[in-house]
Amino acid sequence: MDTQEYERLTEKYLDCIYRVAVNGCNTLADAEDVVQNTFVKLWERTENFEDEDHARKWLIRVAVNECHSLWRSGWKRRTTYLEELTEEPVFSTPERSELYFAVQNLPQKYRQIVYLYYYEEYSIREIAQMLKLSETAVKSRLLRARQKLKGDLKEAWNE
Amino acid sequence: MSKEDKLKNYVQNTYGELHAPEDLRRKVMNMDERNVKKKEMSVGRKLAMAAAIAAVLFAGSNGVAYAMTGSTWVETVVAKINLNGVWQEVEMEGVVLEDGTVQYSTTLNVQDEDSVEFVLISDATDADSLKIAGVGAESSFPEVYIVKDTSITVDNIGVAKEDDKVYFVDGDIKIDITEDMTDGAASVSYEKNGEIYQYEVKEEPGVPGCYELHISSEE
Repeated sequence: MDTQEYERLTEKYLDCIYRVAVNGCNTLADAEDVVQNTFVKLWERTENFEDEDHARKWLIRVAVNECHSLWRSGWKRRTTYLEELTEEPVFSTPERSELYFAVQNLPQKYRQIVYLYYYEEYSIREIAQMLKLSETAVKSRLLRARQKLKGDLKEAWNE
Repeated sequence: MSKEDKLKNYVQNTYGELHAPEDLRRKVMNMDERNVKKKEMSVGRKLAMAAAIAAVLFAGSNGVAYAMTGSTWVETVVAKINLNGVWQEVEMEGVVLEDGTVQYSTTLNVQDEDSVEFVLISDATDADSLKIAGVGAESSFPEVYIVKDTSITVDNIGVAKEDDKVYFVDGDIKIDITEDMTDGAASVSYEKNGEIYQYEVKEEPGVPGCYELHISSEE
């Protein structure tokens, strides 16, 4: 990929891929590894993207695959340092912080779906295609995630 | 505003505040060829060895992983390792060596040490032949206890290549994963006999035609 196009896509999608990675990993250090590996693959890609949507979905899918690779790697799970586990992002309000940690407490397979559906506003069908899941599986995971969040965020939910 | 819209706003406001750290942005933006090579080298770096006395106990695995070379399947084993008196369950991934044997390895953190790497060598077809390999000769190697033969036969599941296309195959089910495999990995989900199956497929870097498959069950 030429440098100009790489920098344009990186500038545009870095935060998006970082959020996907944070939702797919247990530590911010792992998320940063996922982001770097994803953009290495973008840099090494030789084919052009059909359009912006293709580029965005490709990057998300690569990031999701990188997260899966990390989960598959037994030794990686066991070489997490204590300081990495205590690292936390900072939010402007306690409510937002509460939501973030409620989402992070969801099983990993729910977190990315919550993010892609509510933040990136992808449809159930698009998420199913990106994550290579059936639409039924995406719907059921989203439903379970909502139920869990409803329980964990009772006050905010009922305001 | 509906509760669904409220949750959406809540998620958008929250994640809108989550940005990639500046040092990560800098690293990714400066991804020239030199940096890519450096990154590749760091992945393969050898971790420091630490002396440790441990016992390894093999147990069954809920999520079973397989590596396939030709028609031979080798699972990734789950081992229980007693490290300085503390039992830990670890997944040990199998790598097929040039001589056909399979090397299982994992790395653990040890308090006050960098890490300790456990490497097991096994004949792919004989779990009883598992033994500790001589990595870090100065270490006191753990004993190995095999309580369960973890070899599992899987028929007709694998990855097939036809006419420049890559397919995941389970019996009569054939799923085209060509596009995903250009990224080196794919996830497939399908229904068979009323059950939903989900597999993760990953190509082993540098080993053409060798794929690693993980099965995960749907809830």
